This record gives sequence, C-alpha cells and structure tokens, in this order.
Amino acid sequence: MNKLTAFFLQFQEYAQLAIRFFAALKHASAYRHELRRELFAIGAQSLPVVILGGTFIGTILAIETGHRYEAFGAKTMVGRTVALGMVRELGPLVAGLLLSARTGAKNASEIGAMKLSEQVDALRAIGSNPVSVLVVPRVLASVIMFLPLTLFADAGGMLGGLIVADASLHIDRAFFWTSAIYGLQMKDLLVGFLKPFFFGFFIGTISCHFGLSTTGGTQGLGRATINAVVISSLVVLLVDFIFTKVVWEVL
Amino acid sequence: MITLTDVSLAIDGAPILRNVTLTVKEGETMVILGPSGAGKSSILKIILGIWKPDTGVVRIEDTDIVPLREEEMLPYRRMMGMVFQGNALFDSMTVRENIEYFLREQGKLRHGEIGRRVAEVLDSVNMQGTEDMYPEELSGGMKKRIAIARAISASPRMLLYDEPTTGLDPVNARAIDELINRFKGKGTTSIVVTHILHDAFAVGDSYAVMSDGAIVAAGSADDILASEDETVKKILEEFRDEASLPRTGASTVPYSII
Repeated sequence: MNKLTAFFLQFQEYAQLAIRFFAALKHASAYRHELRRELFAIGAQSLPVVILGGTFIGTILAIETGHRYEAFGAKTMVGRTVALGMVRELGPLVAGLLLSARTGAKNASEIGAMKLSEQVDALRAIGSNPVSVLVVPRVLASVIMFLPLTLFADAGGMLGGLIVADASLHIDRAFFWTSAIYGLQMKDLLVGFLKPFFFGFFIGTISCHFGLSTTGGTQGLGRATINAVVISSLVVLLVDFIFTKVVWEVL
Repeated sequence: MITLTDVSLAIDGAPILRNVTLTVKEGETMVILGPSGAGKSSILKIILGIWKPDTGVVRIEDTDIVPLREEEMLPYRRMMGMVFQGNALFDSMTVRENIEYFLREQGKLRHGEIGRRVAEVLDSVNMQGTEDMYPEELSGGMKKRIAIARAISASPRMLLYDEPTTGLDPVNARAIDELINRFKGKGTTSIVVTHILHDAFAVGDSYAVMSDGAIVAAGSADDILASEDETVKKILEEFRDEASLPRTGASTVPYSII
C-alpha cells in the first residue's frame, strides 16, 4: 500500500470516527463518571502548564515589541499589542499546542494501551460501544475545557506582559491595563473564544483515532502517540490559519 | 449451539482462517488446539462478532450472526462470557468495579443485586478480599481468576476461553482447569482455545486441531490422539507423553499465593 492510499484510508477512518462520535453523543449522560474524570484530567491538571506557557509567551511578546516600540517612542502600545496578540492568536495557539502534546499523548497512549491489551475488545464483548465509553467523554472534555484554559493562557500572557512592562519598560501598570482592555474589540474576543472549541474537537478526535488504530505492540503504541501529538499540533496550526484568513476577509 | 460453516478470513491479504467448519453442541466443552498463529483466537472473535469473516456462516442458536449490525449483536454477546488471553481487565478500575461495570452494561440485574452478585462470583473463584485491589496489584493467576469471575458474572450460556492457562505455572494452570470444569458442570456451552495439550485434555469433551487457519482433525480425545494425519501427529508429537497423563485432584493452593 503506498503512502497516499494509506493517508486516505487513515482519513476515512478518522471521518468515520468523527461521525460515530456525533451519533454516540445521545448516550453521553450514561458516562458522566468518565466525563468528570476527563474534565479533571484535561482541565484542572493542565492548568499549571497552560498558565505558565501563556505567561512566558506574554513576557516574550512584551520584551520583543517593547524594545522596538521604544526606538520610535511608542512603547505605550505594548499593553494593546500584548492583549491583542494573546487574545486573538497566541493564547488559543499556546493552549492548543500545549494541549495537543498533553491531551493528545494522554488520549492516544491510554486508548492505545487498552487496544493492545484487548480492553477495547472486552468493551465490545460486553455490549459497550467503545466510542461512547472512550471517545465521547474525552472529546467532550476537550471541547468544554478548552475555552477556560485559553482564558487562563490569555490572563497569564497579560500578566507576563505587565511584569515586563512594569519592571523593564517602566510603563505604568494602570496605563498598561487600560490600553490592553480598550485595545480589544468584540470581534477580537469572538475570534479568540471561538477557536478553542474547534481546537478541542480536533485534538480530542485525532488523538482518540490514533489510540483506537494502534497496532504492533509497544513500538506501535509509541508511533500512535507521536502521530497523535504531531498531527493534532499541525491541525491546530492549520485551523488557526483558516480561522485567521476567514476572519480577516469576513469581519 | 454454536456452528461455523466454511468460515474464511484474511487480514491484509494474509489468510487467517480457511473454510473452518465446526459445531459445538449445547452444554459441550470444545477445545480448539493448535500452535500459536494457527487462527484459534480468530474463531472466538468471530463468534463474539468482534471480527466479521470474509465468507461463511456463523450460527448462534440458529441465527446467522455474520450479517448482524453492532447493535443487533448485543443480545448474542449478552449470552456469552469471554476470558481474554491477556485478561483484558480494565486497569483504571478495581476488581469490584470491573465486575460491576460488566453487570451494569449487561443490564440484567438491579443496582442492589449487583453488589451481591460481585461477592458471589468472587467467592466462586476463591478471590474474596480482592474487591478493592487494582489489576496491577494482582498476580497472573489472580488476574485470570478475576477475568473468569467477570465472564461468568452475568450467568452466560456460552463461555469462550482464549488461552486460559498460557503464562501460568502448573499449579495455577491446574486451578484454572478446575474452574473451567466446575462451570462446565452447570450446563454452559464452552469453547477453550489453547496450545497446551495437558490443559486441553483436562477440560475438553470434544476437540478440533488447527494448523495454518484450517481444522485438520476433529473428534474425541481418543480420535485426536489416534489420528494418523501427519500434521496432527506433528502437533501432538512433542506433547504426547504429557497428554496421556491428565491432571487429577483438587487444587489445595490458597489463592493468596497464586
């Protein structure tokens, strides 16, 4: 089988899983316990890494832009730049990439290990639908938790920017906040808050797909985990690009 | 009754099963023997409806299950209990939760009855006291007993065992054989897939020998041992002495050291 055929077969399987996810949503309430566990694992347990990631990006953005703006007397624009950059682009993107790694690896390795140890077959043998039990709670948890996590990444980034603005660029804190808040428009918030739902869906479904298609022992599990992280990260970037392009042309 | 007629299966072009035909009568324990890779486990997955054969008919209680959709397979799967080769216990759940989850999904018992049934089946496999342990805390023999407890918990009419004694020491293997014989006595129709002759002859009523995806001999233990078929002789040769000495006697080994 050549690589192109293999790619289309993978894509077909992924599309079938996505359809089965929507079909299985009606049984989601039966797996509340699994959903709660995933909400905690994807949400609360990812919080520190997302806040830290956002903070670092905010500080870098403030340092890079602040010193350039300073050269032509516009360093007061730093607050607005950091706010716009974080809310529209970098907040969702940082959260997306960090969660592609964290959640993508978690989902693919957990489900892949279950597949290899016949636990997925055992679910089917007892009359359970593996998509309802394994995929729906994970994808729903990703979709639900992604927006709050993105908000924390945004907040971390603004805080990082504020620290740099105050300590290194000597911009008044109140002025930083005012310019940051007033620099944002409704469409910026709309863009920044819509992306996470798409990111959550794609990261969840892609990583579950690679988990469920794991074959070939521990090497296969490693391959499935790498594919889940790499492909979901690339899809996050692709979706971000499409979103940005559409928003600039439509809004 | 379980009947397979001319069942063939290939995966990625490689033949796994070739025109397999066999019948397991009501209340009978059939042992499917053969070397690793002969296609034995594939038969169990086809009977469970997890895999679909390319050709052939698989009848459970007079119904051909091959054309059935996933949801139509449910009533048939609920007639069966399966003991997987690697046990397939859910490792994020305790022993109690593993069995409770199975019973909840089966939907045959009310909430209050489930706890009582869990205690009963753990008692029947001599695994009381392990309710709150996770699979990773159990030894190989204990895991196998829990897997059997889970499989029998919903009182299935058919039990499928995939290599139930593989990887176990002789003492544990004998204990598992005894469990299989105990449930056999309750009228359950069973299929035991194994490549260990010693255990095969300890539990079987009828036998089928497989090689390269095909059944090369079938019949009673005497028929198999007396077979003049070269492939069967080759498969049995290595174990013939051991096979003529079936294990007897009850296990006296406490579960805690198994």
